[in-house]
Amino acid sequence: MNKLRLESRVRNGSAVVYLDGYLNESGGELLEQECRSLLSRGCRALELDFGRASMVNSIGISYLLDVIENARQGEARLEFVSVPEDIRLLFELLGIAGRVPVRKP
Amino acid sequence: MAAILPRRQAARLGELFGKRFLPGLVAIEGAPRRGKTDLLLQLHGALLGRREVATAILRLGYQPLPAGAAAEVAAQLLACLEWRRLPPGPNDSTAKPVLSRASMARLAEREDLAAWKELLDAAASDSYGFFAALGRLAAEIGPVCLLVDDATDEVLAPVARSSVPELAVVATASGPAASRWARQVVAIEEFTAREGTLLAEGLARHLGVEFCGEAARPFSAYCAADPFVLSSVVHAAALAGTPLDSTLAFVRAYVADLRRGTLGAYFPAVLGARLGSLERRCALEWLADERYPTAAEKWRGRVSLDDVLANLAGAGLAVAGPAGWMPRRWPAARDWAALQLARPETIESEAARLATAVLAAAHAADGELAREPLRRRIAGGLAEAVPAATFPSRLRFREVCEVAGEPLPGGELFLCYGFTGAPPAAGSAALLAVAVADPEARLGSVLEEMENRVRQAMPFSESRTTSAGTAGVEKWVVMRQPEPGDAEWAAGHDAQLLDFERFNQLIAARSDGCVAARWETVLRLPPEADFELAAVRALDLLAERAGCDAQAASQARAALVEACLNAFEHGRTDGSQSSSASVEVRLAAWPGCIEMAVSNPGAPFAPGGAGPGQSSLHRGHGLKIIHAVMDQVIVSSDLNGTTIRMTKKFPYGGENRTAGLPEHEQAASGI
Repeated sequence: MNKLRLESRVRNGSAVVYLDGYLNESGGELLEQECRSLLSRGCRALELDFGRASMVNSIGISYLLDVIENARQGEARLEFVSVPEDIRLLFELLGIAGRVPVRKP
Repeated sequence: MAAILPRRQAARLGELFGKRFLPGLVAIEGAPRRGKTDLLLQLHGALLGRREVATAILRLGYQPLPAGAAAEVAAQLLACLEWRRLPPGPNDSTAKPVLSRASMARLAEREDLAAWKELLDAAASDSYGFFAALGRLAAEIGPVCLLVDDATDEVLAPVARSSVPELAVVATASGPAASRWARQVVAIEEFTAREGTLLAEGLARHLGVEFCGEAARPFSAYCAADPFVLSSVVHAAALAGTPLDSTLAFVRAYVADLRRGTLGAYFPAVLGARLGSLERRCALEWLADERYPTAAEKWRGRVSLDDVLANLAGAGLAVAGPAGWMPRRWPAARDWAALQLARPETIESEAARLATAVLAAAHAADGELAREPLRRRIAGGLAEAVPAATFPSRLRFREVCEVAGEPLPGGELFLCYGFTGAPPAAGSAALLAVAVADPEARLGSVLEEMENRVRQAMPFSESRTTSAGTAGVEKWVVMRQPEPGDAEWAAGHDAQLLDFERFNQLIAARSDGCVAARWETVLRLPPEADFELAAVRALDLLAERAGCDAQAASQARAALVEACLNAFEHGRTDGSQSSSASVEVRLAAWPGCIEMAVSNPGAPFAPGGAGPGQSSLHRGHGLKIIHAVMDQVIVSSDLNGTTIRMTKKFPYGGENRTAGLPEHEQAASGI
């Protein structure tokens, strides 16, 4: 249940952000900043990889909503990939799954 | 801090000594049969080929200093001095002083050796004294290098503490003691940095702790959170075929007991070296790819229990077993002769006495022990019998055993308590357990016992993990080792305190044969970020014990996190971010059901509403999640605060066990 670590890889205007650890408030802030930075650098496709995310809480999800909104305003394509089953359930509960494509591992 | 010389530089050890004399301890460490001794002998030859350093070799085989060792060392040093007096010859690079046994025997008879011999012999029964004498000798005759094969902690500790600039000791060891004491370490088992990092990250992930890869931690921190201990437990568990979850639960609890949230940057290299006796790829598979069962199968064919025990003992860790049982290579076996001779039924109490004594020594040495209940027991029962002065900074198990008189209940387990080296630091008294005769059954029991103990020492104000049964309207709290005050605690929870024997009698007497095991934990958490994870760890343990399936456990975990976050937020009565009163988390689990209650003392809050200082954008989802994933949720508020009670049911053994209980028992099970 380590703190969230992010690793971003950018290629040809597309970015993949790998989440590793616990997406809580501080992790959410970090993620939101990172995504905003990627968008401001011209990325028009964002992929958030949850393959190593250990847990997500509701505050972390709130920041995901910010990320979704920022991507929408920046006209960028956003996708959540490698989402574990338990996290996917939370996404469905809170309506995220209807706003962003969510792919299982 | 010790520097680790990689293997490719190991062969250059002789050159290293050639460039500059390295006082203090240089350790060559690695698993058995990996060439440590060969390297030592190479160095011996290289040093003998030069005249400026008097060199002696001592083959200990993980035994204490044998009688006659002093004379032998003195004879070897004298032979070097004799050779030094000879004029240089053309074959100096290959010539060696004569060190045959016959030659040494002759030298040992010489009068000019008598003073040395007397000096060393006088201190030979005590390695501190021996090395102090050797240091004085080195100061007199010039640089001395002693090469020790299969060194013990007893030998390494005094050398590490010595500051004689003319004395160097190069020692081989398969345990971690060497790296703990040494100024430089030659790691025979070298893992690449990438592999080491993978191992560390993998294990940290399993343990649910933060792996701090960048920030170096003090060496002392490593000593306390010894990854060797963890990996040894994992070895033993794998060999015994213990399920992954049980092993991880133990390791997790162990780490929790250390009260640390991070593992040091030193971790990768050391863990890599410790796992050297395993087939490297298997370890990686388990730690990095989570294919534990497959890896465990592979390990079984390649690593013997003897290897594990040899490593443990090489680390200065005590091992106890039934009478007649002896690993083929058991270092320091002499100290355990008494145990070997004891009747099987007495072994446990002997081991328990030892364990108590070791912990008492740790307590005496620095006054700090991670396990509060044990500390209380020791403080109460052994404080007078074990004065601090009895124990210097190292431990001699036999002596410790003799002064300890207080038994520690061992139950049906073989308990192995070890001490990872002196000076003892808080938390460094390691609890290890190895099952021998019936590995699968016993190790499982041991792990359970360990969990119990560790849970009792959770770093919060009130924490208990108990096994309880329900019968009629009575609530039982059953503890293996009741402590003073536990009866009052149980009474405060409307429960009757029972010991295991009484518990078993009552269960056996039940006509329906139903064992409604129930486990409870009460935590009081500060309302601060990330403390919800402590509750999650406790829940994981309970859920595992109750046989909860992964999906239900995951949902309960999500609900618990949200309930805690709510409580943290609303528990700050003044609406600020500062902490105030603690949040109480009560967890209970039994086959078929998990119950959780999270209470905060702050002002009542409207379910679903945003907390003080929070925007509605970022809050309000918690209760939605809780309601969605739990079977029953009750939120109650009064002037004293708010409590969220949650129930999650799960299939167990093909049926919901609570459904089979009488109604009054179901009612009695409520938190």
